[in-house]
Amino acid sequence: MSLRAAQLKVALCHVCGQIEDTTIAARCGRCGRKLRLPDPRSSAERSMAWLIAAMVLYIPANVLPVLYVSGLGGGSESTIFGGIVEFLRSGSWGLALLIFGASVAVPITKFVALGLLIGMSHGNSSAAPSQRAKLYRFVEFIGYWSMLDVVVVALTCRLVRFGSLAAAEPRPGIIFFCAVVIATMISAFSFDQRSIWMAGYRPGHRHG
Amino acid sequence: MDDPGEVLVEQHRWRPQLVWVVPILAALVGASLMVESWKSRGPRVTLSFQSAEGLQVGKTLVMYRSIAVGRVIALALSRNGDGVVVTVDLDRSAAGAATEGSHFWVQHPRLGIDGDARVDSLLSGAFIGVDMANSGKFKDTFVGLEEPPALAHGRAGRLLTLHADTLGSLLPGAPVYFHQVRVGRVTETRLEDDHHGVLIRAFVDAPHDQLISARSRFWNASGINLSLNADGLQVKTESLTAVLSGGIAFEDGPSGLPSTEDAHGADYSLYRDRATAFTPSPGEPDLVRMRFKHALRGLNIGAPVEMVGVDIGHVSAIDLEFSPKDQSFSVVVSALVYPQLMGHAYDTLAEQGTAGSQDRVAALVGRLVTRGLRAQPRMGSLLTGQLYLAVDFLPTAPRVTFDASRRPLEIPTVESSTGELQLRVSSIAEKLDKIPFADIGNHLDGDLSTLQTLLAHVDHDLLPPATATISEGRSTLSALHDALSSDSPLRGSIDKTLEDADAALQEMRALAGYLQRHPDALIRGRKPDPKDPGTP
Repeated sequence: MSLRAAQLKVALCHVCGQIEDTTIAARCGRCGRKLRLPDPRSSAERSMAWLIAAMVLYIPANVLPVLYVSGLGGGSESTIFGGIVEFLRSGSWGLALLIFGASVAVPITKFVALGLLIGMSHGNSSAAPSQRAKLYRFVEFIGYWSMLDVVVVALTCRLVRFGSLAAAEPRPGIIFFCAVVIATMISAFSFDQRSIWMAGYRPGHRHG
Repeated sequence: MDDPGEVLVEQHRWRPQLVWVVPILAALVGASLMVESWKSRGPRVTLSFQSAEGLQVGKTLVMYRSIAVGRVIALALSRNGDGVVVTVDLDRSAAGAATEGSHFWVQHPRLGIDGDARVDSLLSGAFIGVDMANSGKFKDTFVGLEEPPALAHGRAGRLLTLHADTLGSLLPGAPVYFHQVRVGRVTETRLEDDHHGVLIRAFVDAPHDQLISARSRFWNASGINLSLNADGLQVKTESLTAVLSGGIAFEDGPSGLPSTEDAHGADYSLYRDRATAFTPSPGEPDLVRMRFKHALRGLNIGAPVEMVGVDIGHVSAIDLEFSPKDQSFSVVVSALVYPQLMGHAYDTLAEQGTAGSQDRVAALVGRLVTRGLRAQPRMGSLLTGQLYLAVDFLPTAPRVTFDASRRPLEIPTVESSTGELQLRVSSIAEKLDKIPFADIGNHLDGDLSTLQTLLAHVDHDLLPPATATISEGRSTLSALHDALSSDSPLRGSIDKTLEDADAALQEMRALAGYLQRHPDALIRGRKPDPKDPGTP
């Protein structure tokens, strides 16, 4: 097992990068900021809370309509999944795939990946840390694409404005979808990557 | 700090973190939305129609009072394939539609002329109309109507049943007018149960249903009523819509009119037109006969019978009779006479007890015949030669015997008044004949030929000299013009003469002045005066 800062009883100030000896100082001697030791459990817990919020919000985001399109004389609301099915039926495979990827595959992958990472960190697992680190970077990568749906709806509503001929309006579902994306982002940020490498380490334990 | 190796940096103790509020809040919001959408979800009903024309899954709405209360979620063929089954999700607010007595129908886009046009549906496509019964008895399978119902549940107003001989141009949806204001519409037209006549149902909306009373008279307001009379041409219509799609009008009849409403309070007669509607009910007719010895050309079945100018009946049959006794033919005219059309006269007679009993009527007619009551064919129109029968008092008519026991009553007749008219016309024609049109024409012809020769004479003999005279006159005038021009010798001598005359006049004036001052010079001669010029 490689050496950790905590084993040397030193900590890095998050603000100014000063290294302090944790046995003599509780605050950074340069900038006065409170020093913190990595705490995998509490970061995992915060991350988990946001993840659960995101999963809960994902249900109304899919059930409620996200877009209302009115044409000549009538209009219809569509949910994300309904939209995918409609695109599939009309033969627009590419569009259906894109929307499926952005609004179903990406969020669910994030849920699963984050859930796995958080669960393993919380359980202090030491299995395959380098793969878990890769997984985390992957989660960060696909996170860029999560807002695609929101952008599509926002663009559609701005562009399709022809008075009574055709108009598109956002519906509450898109707010929930937006909230899902934000919650998963916070969840990912809250997750302390270092906890992947801290198997067997307990903060507050005396090492030495 | 008892242990120098103790880490001073604050350690996290596990405690419930504030961040858990986030998923709890999310769960609450999600749950409240779910509850709300579950609460707003109404019943699911299945409707069967003949055809699903214009219906689309997920798009076609269920409309109640122009508000969307549901949506089509599935279309399928019925089990035996003779129709379609439409599954509809209703909103919670429309739960009353899923009860016994509700009606569903497919409202197709249509353009009407009676104000019910659905222009919006031309663009939005068909929708399913629903008429909520709110009867409280749950039902989720309905047989859809193929035609929109004319009446909505709970619509305030009054449903009327009208009976007519013919339908005219009435269609369901045709308007009902009161003083030309649209107050309702026809909801149903069909044959009567016994196939005699037509039954028409009409709905009059509140508050106009208050206008219907036992005295109301209904008539068919379809089409255009053209009439030509002494006032000129008159065109009467209720409205353009009524002309095109038919319509019913009603008004209160005069108080004297008997009620046509039956015991149920909702059945009325539908009259052919307004005039018929306001004609008092003629009551039961009596059959009378009239025997004429002469031809009655121009008298048709249906020709009016008038008593002292009042229409009291019409001719019902014209027959020929042969009498073997005197080997002669006679025309027997049967007429239906409605005593009640005599109005107050009938009332008076009824009060005297004459009406009703055939014998008493016969006795009355007998008395009237002795006073000169006769039937006489008269010319109704000189143009068409139509005859009508006038029952009138003709005191000069020859006396006849009246058989009061005869049934039907036979009213004695007199010669047609058209005979006299024909005599007069023929005498006028004779007088016209005597005018010597041929002689007049011959004379006129001679006069015209004389005039023609006279004009030829003028042309040949008078015109050439007249032309020469005119040209001579013209040359004389030009010579005169030359003579009077400013450089002519005549003009010069005239000027000279005028100057001389002027000088002479001046001398005369001097002489006169001298004589005024020296009147004695006339006698004594002129005094020597060096200043004065000499006098002649």
